[in-house]
Amino acid sequence: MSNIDINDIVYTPLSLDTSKHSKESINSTILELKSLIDKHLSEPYSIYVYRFFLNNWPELCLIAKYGDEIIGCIISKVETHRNVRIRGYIGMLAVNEQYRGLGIAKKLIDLNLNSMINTYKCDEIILETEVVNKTALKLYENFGFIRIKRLFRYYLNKHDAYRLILPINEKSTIRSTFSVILNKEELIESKY
Amino acid sequence: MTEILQENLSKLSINDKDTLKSSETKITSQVNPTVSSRANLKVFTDVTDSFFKIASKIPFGEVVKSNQFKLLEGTHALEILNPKLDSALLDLTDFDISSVKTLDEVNWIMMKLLGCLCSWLDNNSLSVSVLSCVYIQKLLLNYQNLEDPKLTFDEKPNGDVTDVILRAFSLGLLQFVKFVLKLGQSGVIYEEEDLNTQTMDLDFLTKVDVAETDNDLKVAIELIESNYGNEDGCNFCLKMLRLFEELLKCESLLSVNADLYTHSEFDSTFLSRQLQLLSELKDQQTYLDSLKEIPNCFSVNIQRQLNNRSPPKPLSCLPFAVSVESLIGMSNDLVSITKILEITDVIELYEYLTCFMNRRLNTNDPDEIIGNHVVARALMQLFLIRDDRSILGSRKWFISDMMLDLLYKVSLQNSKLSKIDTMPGFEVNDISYQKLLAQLESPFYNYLTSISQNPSRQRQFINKELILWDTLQVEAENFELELNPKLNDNFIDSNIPTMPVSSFVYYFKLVRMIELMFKSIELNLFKDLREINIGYWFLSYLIGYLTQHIVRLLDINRLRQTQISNYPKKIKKAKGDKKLKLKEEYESHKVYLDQFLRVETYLKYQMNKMELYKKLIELKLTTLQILNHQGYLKLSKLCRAPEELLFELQLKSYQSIGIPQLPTFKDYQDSLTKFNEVFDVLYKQKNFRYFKSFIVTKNDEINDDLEKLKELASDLHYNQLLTDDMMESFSLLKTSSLSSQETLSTLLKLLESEGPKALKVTIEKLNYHLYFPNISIELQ
Repeated sequence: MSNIDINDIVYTPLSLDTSKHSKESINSTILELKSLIDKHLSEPYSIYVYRFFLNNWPELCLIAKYGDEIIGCIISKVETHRNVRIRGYIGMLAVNEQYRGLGIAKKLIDLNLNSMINTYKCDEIILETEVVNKTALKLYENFGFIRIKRLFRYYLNKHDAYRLILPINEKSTIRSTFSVILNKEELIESKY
Repeated sequence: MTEILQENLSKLSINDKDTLKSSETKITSQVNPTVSSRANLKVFTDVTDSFFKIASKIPFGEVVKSNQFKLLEGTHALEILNPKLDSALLDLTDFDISSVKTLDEVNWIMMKLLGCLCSWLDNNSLSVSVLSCVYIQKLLLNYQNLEDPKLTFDEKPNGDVTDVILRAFSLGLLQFVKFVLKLGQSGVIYEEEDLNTQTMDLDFLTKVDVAETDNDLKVAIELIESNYGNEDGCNFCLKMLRLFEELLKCESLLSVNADLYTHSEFDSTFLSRQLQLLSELKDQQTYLDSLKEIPNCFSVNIQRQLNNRSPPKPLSCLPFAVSVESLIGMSNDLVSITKILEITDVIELYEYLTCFMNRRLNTNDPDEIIGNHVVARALMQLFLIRDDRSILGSRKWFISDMMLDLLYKVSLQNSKLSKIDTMPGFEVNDISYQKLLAQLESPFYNYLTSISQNPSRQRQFINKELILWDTLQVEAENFELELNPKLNDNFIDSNIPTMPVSSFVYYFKLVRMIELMFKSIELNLFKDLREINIGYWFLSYLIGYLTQHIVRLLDINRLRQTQISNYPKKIKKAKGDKKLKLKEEYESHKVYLDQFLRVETYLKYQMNKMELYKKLIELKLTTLQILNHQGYLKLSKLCRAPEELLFELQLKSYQSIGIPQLPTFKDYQDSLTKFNEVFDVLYKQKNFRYFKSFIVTKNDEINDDLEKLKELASDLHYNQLLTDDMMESFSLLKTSSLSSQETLSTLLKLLESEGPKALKVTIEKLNYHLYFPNISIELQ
């Protein structure tokens, strides 16, 4: 879409705050997000998957909007991994095909990484992507993500996946067995 | 608030008839009521109104759930009314099973069923493949009808082609599925990743003996032979029935009980017949193309009607030609398993297992990395290691014996430590020694189980194994260093202890460290030139350590040979009891002379192979570092992590290893800088003579190494299968070598004639050695 001014694209985290948004508007946003993801990702996700991410970490669900339309989103979470490090996880990323090539995915990842690094103090950020999805691989790998593991026939469509990790500090580079256990107050667990 | 709601919601149980009696309705199950999972669900209660009344009190944005689980666990749930997840939304189709009357129609169904079977073996579920056939569904439901179990499609079979031929074929196929399910459920391969063993709660003929089915197949074959002519349809049908007669014999591999290295007899002719039949079936495509499709004979019905734990999925059936090729692959892999029985010693067995592990299916898709057929992988482990930890079901050979055998061959034979149990004053040390040997079994077992895994899992198994070897090395070294002043088992004219156990552990640790790195290259974990450069640079470092260590093992081996050859002199000089004792020792030691010579050849072979790898890596590294000089190994501008952290994460598996210590990022950078400085001078002068002669020298050296490897391989007298695999590997190494030379040569020419122009650099895997993909360079 050549006539789009990328400066008109607004990036905001999901808000479940009923003092700022009507219940109908929140519900409609969630449905729109679900529809965008369902359309563009091969894996089928149930409502529980969305609720798990969105209700636990609404601020890590970043939405790209053009006018009133949701044109892209990234959905992530942060939890403690094996009690030794804080691990961010990018669960889903989708951009409406009409708006691709405008750097929207790049911007969503960039902002999402900022939140996970600055707000949650993540030691590493991980995700999985299909071996055949070269575009996604290039996108993440340009941010410094490294292929740490290959997962045989990981997806329902039988494709292998790579587990990618972006190390934020040296904790990410030490095997869990040899890492220092985090204090209780450092642990991050999901609310639900 | 949430607790009160949860309490209210828990009242919405379908058994709570007092509160919800008025809305009770009866719904009859759509499927056969005898299916156990549905047998208790004849009564449903409509709780919609009550549910919404209570749910309306939930505050907006709150999630109400039991405290007994995390919402994360709910993410695996199947969501009702979601078309991607709810199989109840699938449309049912009708099919009249009595409508199939002719042999051609039966043949079409058999062809499709073979495709479904192979699709299941290719990692699809039974529900979208084998069970999608209405006849299979009928047969299994009738079989598990509790009131009147029958092994027929229909209540009243009339003996037509479906009742005899299709039934026998279906039973044969289901028996084979039953056997593979057994393999899949034995815990040696991974559920869903390798094989989907969900049966939709159907009983796969657990109480039907294979002999009974074999008889059904024979009856069907006789019927065809006596009632039909020699037409294409008849031929096809006979071959398909006979194929399953032979496939059902695969299970016999699990009842083989053999002692290692005794060349035990096993009748594997059924595998040759399988291959013959499959080869003949390949020629039937023209006939199969003429057959008419039978609509709705295969459908999604079963996904909706029976206990389905998966989302709805389209049916999956491999084309006939692909199925036949897949089964040929399986049969060939099974043939290679039987070759274990021909192996003559543990050196050959170790090489064979490593070779089996590294076999890859040739595909034209560089993104697909597939090892041996899943049936062969599972069968291999169950064939090799039995429940009682015996090898091949032998009464003499257990995992610990095999491990000890290997340890003795590599470094322990004729050492003083190996006789510690007979030496007075070493009783306490002997207990520690036995404990140490027992600990060795753990990484060795891990190795044995890694061979049956898919390529991705193999790497994970090795990764786990490194910690085990590393811990053991520390323990073995401490033990041997402490004991040696008492034992005094040193190299001749030196105070350097031989340390046979530590040497063995260190050898396998280094070998596995190198394998892990090579497997990372094979699995494309190094995404670009910068990362591949790190990989090869570190490999070169590791190989340096391994070759040094092989020299040590060769020294131990030669020490033992010298000790044997020194006995006659010692005996000549000695007198009385001492002479007798030396004579006895000589007799007991010299029987191992041939073994030492063989192991010496084996170690030389390993040394040569590693030296060859190192030379190939030197060619790669030279190309990569010239590309680095030209700016092709830079990080992306968007990169959010410092290069040092990326380096450390990439080599994370090695961070904890004591020896050899992981080199630092600075070491790595220094090596790049050093190369850059030298190359920069030559580049400005356009003087690449050194590199051109470097290519010629490496070519000569690699060719010499390959020749030596072939000679050594021949001296090792391995079985034909192993020898063939080795020769194929040499051929791929040669191809990789030539392509690496060509790439470097092209790069130099481009720099010489074109200067610093934009280059297109690609990594190509197909037709190259797994560990040495080609780096192709051309002008953009």
